[in-house]
Amino acid sequence: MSGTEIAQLIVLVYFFLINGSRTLLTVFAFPDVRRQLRRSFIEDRPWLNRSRLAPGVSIIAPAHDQAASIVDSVRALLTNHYPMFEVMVVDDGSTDDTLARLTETFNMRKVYRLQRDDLKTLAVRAVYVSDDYDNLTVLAKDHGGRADALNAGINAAKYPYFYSVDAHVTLEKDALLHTMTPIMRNPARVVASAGIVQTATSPGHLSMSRAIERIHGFTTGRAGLSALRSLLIINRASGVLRTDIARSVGGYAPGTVGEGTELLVRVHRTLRERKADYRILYLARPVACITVPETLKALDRRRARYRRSIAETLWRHKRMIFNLRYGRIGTFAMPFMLLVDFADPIAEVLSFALVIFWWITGQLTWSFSGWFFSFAILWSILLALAAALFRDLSTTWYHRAASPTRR
Amino acid sequence: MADISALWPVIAFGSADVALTIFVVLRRLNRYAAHDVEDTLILDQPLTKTELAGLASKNVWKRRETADALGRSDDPSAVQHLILALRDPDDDVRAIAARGLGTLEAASALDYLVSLFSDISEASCPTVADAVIHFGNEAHAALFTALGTGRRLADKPAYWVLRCIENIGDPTGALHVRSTTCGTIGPLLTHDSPRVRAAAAAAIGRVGVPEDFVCLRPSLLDPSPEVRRQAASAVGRIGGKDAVAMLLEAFDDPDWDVSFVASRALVQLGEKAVDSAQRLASSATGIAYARCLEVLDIAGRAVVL
Repeated sequence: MSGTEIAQLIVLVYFFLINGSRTLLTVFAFPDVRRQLRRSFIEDRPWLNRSRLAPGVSIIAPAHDQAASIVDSVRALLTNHYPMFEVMVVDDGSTDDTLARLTETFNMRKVYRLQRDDLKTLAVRAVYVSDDYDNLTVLAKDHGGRADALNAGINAAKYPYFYSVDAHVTLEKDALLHTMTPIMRNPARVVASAGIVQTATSPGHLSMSRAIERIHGFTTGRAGLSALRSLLIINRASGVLRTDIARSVGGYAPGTVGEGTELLVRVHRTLRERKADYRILYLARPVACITVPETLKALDRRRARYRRSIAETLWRHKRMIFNLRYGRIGTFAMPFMLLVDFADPIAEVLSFALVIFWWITGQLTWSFSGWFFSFAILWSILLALAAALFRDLSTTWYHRAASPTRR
Repeated sequence: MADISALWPVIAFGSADVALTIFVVLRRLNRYAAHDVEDTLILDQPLTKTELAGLASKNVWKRRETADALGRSDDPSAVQHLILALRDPDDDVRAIAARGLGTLEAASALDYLVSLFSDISEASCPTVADAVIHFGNEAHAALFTALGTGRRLADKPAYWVLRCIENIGDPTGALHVRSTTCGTIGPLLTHDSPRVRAAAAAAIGRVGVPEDFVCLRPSLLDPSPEVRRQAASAVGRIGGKDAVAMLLEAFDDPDWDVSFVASRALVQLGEKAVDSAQRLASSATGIAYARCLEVLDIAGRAVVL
């Protein structure tokens, strides 16, 4: 077998491996999503919202130089529908008047509060509480980055679960209710749960294609991984995690780009090593809305950041890959992250370039090249359509469940 | 010319694409039509036989959806059907029926609901508990009867009955049972399960009186931090002789949350308790000193660092 033939075989195997695993996830996602959506229909959100037994949630919002938007963001967070929650803004050493705007608008005063030191962070200079809102606190600390700010928030959180949010993400009003519902049903096992981050689409082709890509990735990809108990990535502002677990595993790793992914993998790793019986769930329900990049440059920046976050997580936890000790996380989820989340975009472009090159140089027949391209495109369309169908189903059930006229 | 037999995957996937596209489009069209129908539904219509028949269906989802619909019906005749549904073999049907009975405020169902804690899964207990809590003070009699049956309650029903007592809004409504708080709930403070002991302490904090501090006192030294936390919080609510001294001691508790709750509880006990913290601040060190400063700050007194 020549070198070219070996390369062709690798391309073909990789192609079937990637698309086969995506198809598998779609197949696994379907019954899980269907069950969730049927359950959402019999759940009574106003009833849950009045529950006195709902565990409290601390919403942690790191802010750095966000004077222009911070007041609106905090106002939006305070209107969340959930029986018991606090909003904790961590001013991460802002150099503009972020802190001043908060203290003036929400009538805040400086108080003396003892701080936990479970997670090491840069110094918290002051704590402010609001006279207008019982559930609003602001921590003012030295600038240490997002992970450090989140850790300070986790230290100060008074509730057993926390939800970390981002400035460019808008939370759905029912985000906490949605994400906490499976936890309320099974608090002993469910340690984290997350939902869909939707895209705020504008008419541009770029944002439309990103929206389709996200529907694909979120609706079937994450749901399939969750059904297989292999979910490793929870997007920013899309889920809750148990506060004591975040504290016990050391919190967010400062200096990482994808601190959320890294923390989730560490939670898996630690709980697997402790042989704990736990679940991390992904819900087919919208919980937040994110703006998508409008320019190729911005998209490129975000993609590069995503890729880097995956790479650093894989590197930090490389001993988990193909390690039987970590069960399906080691044997399936981590290799999937490596082959699909990290390597796929490069490998896919390279594969298509090679097929074209082999075709031009006569190393592949016209019929095979045509077959390969048609097959690849049709398979991708099928997966995208399945994702669109899932999304359609979830939206229908979601609205049906929320309808005030239903009975 | 390509061999047509090699094209079967392309043809198969192409056909599947077309079929799925048609399906998605048809679903969308159907959805828009369904919206029009849905908007014309009226909630106050009486229950139909077809709706009630759903409770006898073999399909578990049908029974769940029927129980849900009955609970929302505002129809008093739904109560008897929902009480029967509390015996359904499916946990979710029972929990949804319980929620419906809570929504319909069917007081006749209270005893059934409280006894359900013994039979239903842990995951469904919060829904049943919320239904019981929804009745407010009316539920106290059924809850205290369940606790006072004399026999040792198992972990699950004991815990959830206590959680209901703790979370029923107005403690003044429990006046008629206050005289028996220590006698009825007190024994559960020595239960084998830490979560039951913690819930018992919290329940005493809700319905107890200062005299009940006597039975809470040992809980402040319980080996479980959660029990100590709930006991400290309860003491802050009901007070009692030596309560301040015990809370000040809890400032030094090795568990961060216990000392946190103790400091908040002390503030609740009033100005004299804050005076004690001020006195302690002059001699205390470490976390106890910091807690004293916190207490003074919360009480609005000057803090000198």
